Amino acid sequence: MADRERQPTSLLIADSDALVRHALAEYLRHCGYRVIEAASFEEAQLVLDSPSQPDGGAGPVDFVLSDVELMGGGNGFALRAWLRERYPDVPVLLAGSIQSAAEVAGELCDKGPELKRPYAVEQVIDEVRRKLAERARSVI
Amino acid sequence: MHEPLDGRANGPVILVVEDEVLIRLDNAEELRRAGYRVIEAADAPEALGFLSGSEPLHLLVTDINMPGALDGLELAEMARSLRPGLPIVLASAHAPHGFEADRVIRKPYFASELVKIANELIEATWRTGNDNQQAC
Repeated sequence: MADRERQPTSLLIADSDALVRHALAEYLRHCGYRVIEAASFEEAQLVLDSPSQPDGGAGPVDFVLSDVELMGGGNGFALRAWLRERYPDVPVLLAGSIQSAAEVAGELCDKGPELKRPYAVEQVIDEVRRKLAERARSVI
Repeated sequence: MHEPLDGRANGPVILVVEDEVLIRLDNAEELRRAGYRVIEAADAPEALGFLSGSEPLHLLVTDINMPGALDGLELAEMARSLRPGLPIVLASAHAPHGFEADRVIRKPYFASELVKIANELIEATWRTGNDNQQAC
């Protein structure tokens, strides 16, 4: 447990736009986070299910930031639903354009993305901190 | 872990193209620990977005067998024309034919082996200041 506490917070960015994903990931790494990149719904699932191994593996993920329009077998909403079921303690932040996200969210009767594109990267940091603090409070 | 070569704030940049996310993650993290900046691409079209852009690149590492319209060999050919002089490492379980890569790494391999190859290939160009292999 003590070892885990010394590890940087691990963030998973699930975004099918490589340029967006890379730019955001670099910024967050610069801020001291360990950032794992996933290009699709399936890649995100694989990473989240991958335990830490001596020779690799993603290990625990503390936070997931996903684009609504994630490619693959599911979009960002599907990933959030999967996480709620399988890893309910991992906070999820959805990002997307207002119109497309609102349409999908409405169809799913779920809430829309918290981050509306275009957003400033500083907003991501604020949301990560806020959600992780919320989770810490709920554990206490 | 070595410091970024010649002490620049940002290390050399390596583009890693691999469709298996856990292998890509392992390679990318090991290379970052070694002082490199790493751009991750899940397939050839993603990689082309970076190769055709203005981001400085110092090494391309690509898997050969990848799903989609372009495989790693075709990507390597395109990289040669977009970024002449950019060192290219091909990763494959089988010996590749038809492309003269700077190095071939046979799968399965340890990420530490890739770091060693990266050190060898990058050091010369980085030390001579050839750090802006942008697309033509």
